[in-house]
Amino acid sequence: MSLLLFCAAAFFWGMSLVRLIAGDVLRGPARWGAGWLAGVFSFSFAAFLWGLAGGRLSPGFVWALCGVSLAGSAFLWHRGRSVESSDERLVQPYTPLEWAGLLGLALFSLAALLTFATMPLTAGDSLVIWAFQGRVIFENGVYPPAELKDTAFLMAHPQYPPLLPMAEALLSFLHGSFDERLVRVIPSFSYFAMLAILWEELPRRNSRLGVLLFLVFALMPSWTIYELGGATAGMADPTVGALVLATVVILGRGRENNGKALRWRKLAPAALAGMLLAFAGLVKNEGLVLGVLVLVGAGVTRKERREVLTLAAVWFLILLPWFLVRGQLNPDFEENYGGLLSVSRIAGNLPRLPEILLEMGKQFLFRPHRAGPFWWIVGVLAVFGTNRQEVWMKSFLWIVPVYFAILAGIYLISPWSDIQQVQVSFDRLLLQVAPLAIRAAAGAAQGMSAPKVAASLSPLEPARG
Amino acid sequence: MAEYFTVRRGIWTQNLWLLLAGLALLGPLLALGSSGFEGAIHHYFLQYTFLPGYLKSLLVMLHTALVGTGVLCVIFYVVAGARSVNLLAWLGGDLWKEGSTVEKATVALSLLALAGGLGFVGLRLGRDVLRARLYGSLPVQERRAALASGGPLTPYYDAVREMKAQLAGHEGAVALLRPPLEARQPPVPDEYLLLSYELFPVRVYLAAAPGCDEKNISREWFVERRISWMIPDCGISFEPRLVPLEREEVP
Repeated sequence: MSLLLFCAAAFFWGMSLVRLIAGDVLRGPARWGAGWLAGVFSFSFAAFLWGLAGGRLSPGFVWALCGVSLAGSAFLWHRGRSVESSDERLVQPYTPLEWAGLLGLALFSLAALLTFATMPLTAGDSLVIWAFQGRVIFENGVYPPAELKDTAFLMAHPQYPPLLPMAEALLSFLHGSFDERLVRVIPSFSYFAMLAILWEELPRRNSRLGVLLFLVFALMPSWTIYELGGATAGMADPTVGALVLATVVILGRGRENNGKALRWRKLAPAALAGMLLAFAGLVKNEGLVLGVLVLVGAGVTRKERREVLTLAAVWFLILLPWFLVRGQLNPDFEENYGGLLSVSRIAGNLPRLPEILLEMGKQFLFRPHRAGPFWWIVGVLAVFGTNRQEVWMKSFLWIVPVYFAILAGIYLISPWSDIQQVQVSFDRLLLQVAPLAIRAAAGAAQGMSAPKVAASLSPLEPARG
Repeated sequence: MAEYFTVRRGIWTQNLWLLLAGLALLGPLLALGSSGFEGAIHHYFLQYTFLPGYLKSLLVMLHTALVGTGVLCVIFYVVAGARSVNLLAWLGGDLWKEGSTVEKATVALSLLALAGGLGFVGLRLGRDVLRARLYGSLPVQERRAALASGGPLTPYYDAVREMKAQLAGHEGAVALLRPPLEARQPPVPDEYLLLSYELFPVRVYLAAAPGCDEKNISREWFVERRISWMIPDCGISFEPRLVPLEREEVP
């Protein structure tokens, strides 16, 4: 019950925040999704700051956080406003294919929730990184705990960003003990938050293909078959993907609505986007790389300089405490890619580049049990869609190939032998940019043929020869 | 409904993809048989993931389900042809019938993606039911050991269980002794990390010990971390066992 209350408090806080500062641009399920992400990670971020300030993390703190946020939600809800949309989501009647997909998604959601509630974690990374760090914070009640600083303490990646483990610790305080099944709560809800955003966004960008593309994305085997519901070995990839998606959607909607908005409201969506983008960097290190790429994209495509500056400033200010504290944490059990980046190492490892690229290509396009034909669909729309030129830049699709190039560079200098790291991680890392890619792909095919009126769209139309 | 099933010429050709899909499934599956299918899945898809103990039964179920799907494809092809239903037009609706080439390509690929996606959802449901029947009655911690059965981490669960029993009611942390070079080679072996997670809140520290001898580590290091136990790892393979640190050895 207390866990449900925590999730509800985070959700209402986030919803109120999003409604207040981006009520013009986010509505319906997209607001629910962004609200969950903003709410739960601002709770976690508040606990992180509280810990850095020397505060004690305890059940009392979490209850206070919930209470204050509920009071704050009521205030913000009163202050916030929601503007009625003039461009309502245009959905055509579902085809049998789409009905089948929706049924499959409902079954998967039910099965996933049941599994999460009853089965323990088995994937290595989720245990030794996320669960472990959350448990250490919970047992110590402080942040950063001494174990994360001790170079001898055996723990994978003590320098991993704090928001997910902190959220796990907060849930554990309410639960009264650490239960590793709690580790799944936040990433699973973040997956559903991502779906909520896409459910509203994709048909809005493409009224004909939107629902179909949504289902293709939601039922990707990587999400459905694996133990953790999408984060095959780690926990954070769907969460990072959701946060980057929310950022890009808010930036895109902000652009559409800027003409109508009041003066301060022009910058408010950028501030919210900056916060969510910073949270991506505080969930996983790759979120920092994606954050920089989104900032570069916004800088290049946005004419409104103040908006870009707001985005960058909020992003940087939220990340600053983490940059400061990270240096105190044990660096010995990290790959330390920065230290490995040297001309001699790159030159020495160049012979393995073709093998790395080949393995990445295989995982990208030929893994029926992971992405299936997902990237083929994105590719067809991105290359042949009528709006392709626009979406490559404005919908940030260029980030996908650039991110792949960066990952190839990391694999090249990695201390892991041969292509081992590509084999165990690339599938998961693709999930971080998949939501962004499907959003752009939907936009690329927008308006390829005019939508028909609903009356003529019965699935029982006569077959055509 | 009657107008829907309008007889069209060429309907058998239009639905040919379904027959081909059915035959493409049935041919290799029947040729391989259940055990050959299991071997192929291991070889092509599961080389990087550990194989849980219940996987064998799941693969037998999957083989049967895929053969059934192949047969259904052939049956649907015949039924749709006899009733003159263009299946792609029925499944894809307006998008297939009047969409652009790119939209049609997207629908065709999406059909493939959703067929696969739904198949994997079915596989997941089968797995979940199988697991619930096998392990549902066990306590949560025992379930993990059972689920990991056959995986690379499995050997440590028995050791972990013994160590937990040994540590119960005692205070102090554990030092894992390794020769210095290996102790600092990234990445740290997975078995160390799992062990450390499993034994927590008993802390496990990594000690670079020349000659794998605790006497070569400073006394302060032991005292600072309240070490009371050691796990020496100096052999060829990792066989975790707890050794109590004699009280007189700690100043």
